[in-house]
Amino acid sequence: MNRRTALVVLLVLSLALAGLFAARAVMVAMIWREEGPVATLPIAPWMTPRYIVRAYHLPPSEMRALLDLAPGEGGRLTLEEIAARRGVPVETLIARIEKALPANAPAAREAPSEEDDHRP
Amino acid sequence: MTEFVDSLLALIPEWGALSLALITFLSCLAVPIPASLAMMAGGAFAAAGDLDPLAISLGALGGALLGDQSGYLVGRFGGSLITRHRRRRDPADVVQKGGGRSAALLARARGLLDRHGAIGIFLSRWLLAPLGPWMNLTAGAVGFSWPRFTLWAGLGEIVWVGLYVGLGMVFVESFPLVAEFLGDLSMALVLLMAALAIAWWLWRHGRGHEDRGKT
Repeated sequence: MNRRTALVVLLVLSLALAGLFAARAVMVAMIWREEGPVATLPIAPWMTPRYIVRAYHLPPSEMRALLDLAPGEGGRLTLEEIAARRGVPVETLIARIEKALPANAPAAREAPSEEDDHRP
Repeated sequence: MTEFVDSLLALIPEWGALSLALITFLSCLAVPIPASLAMMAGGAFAAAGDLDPLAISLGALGGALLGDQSGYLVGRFGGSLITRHRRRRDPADVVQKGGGRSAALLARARGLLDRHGAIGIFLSRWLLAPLGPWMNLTAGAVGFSWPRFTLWAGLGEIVWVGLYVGLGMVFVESFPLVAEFLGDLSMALVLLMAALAIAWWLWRHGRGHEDRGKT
């Protein structure tokens, strides 16, 4: 393969990859438009109580109650660390928070539709 | 998100500005670490009240500036080492085989950087971020002026840090989606530019072939 052929192959390859990345960007933008300005992530161990309060529109007092936090406690601690300090698996805390999320949050959104299916 | 990204994000509220400095530093040395996502996470934690936005911005900026300087230095040192080594090995051989050609290539790269380098260095900090680390090495290797490199890299990093920390503060809920969107867009742009550069080369050299064929 001479240099010219190699460059043509490289040209086609980079154009194809550019198209692929552009298509992925469009896909992400479409998901984003559909979801709107609501939290698109399930509750994760890296999140802090204040992040969850802000992103999922949960009242701070409810968050403190869910995690057994004293006022002022838990700032800058992730769920993972809070779980480690409490000696419980982080999944327990995540499940507790997801149950308390407002209806428009991603984790809570699927639950009502299941209930709908069970309706007579 | 992957486990690696999850544990990276978990570092940010605990270590704050320091974690961002380390992450941007490593990313400027071509370590594949999602620095843009990390800065957006920093912005999101700042908006939630966990971190100070100014402190994390300064941390991220400090790491990025240090990373750029390190890349430039490695390029400069490495570049001079290679040319010295080649010269010492066999001067005649180098001139006859490849050496002359690579020296010419280096000179051309330097000319290109001297003419368009400032804007290239500026844009490769944020809009074409995947090119950043390679730009640092190249700028060092071809002996691009250090004050000009520092100025344009610094301005670019200010835009990069300000843009991503700011976006994180605005898109608190959905910053990973925004990071993915911008990352994909940046990669598409870089690949498109590479394709354009190849097409330009082919066009120029194709014309040369035809001219030679006619005579």
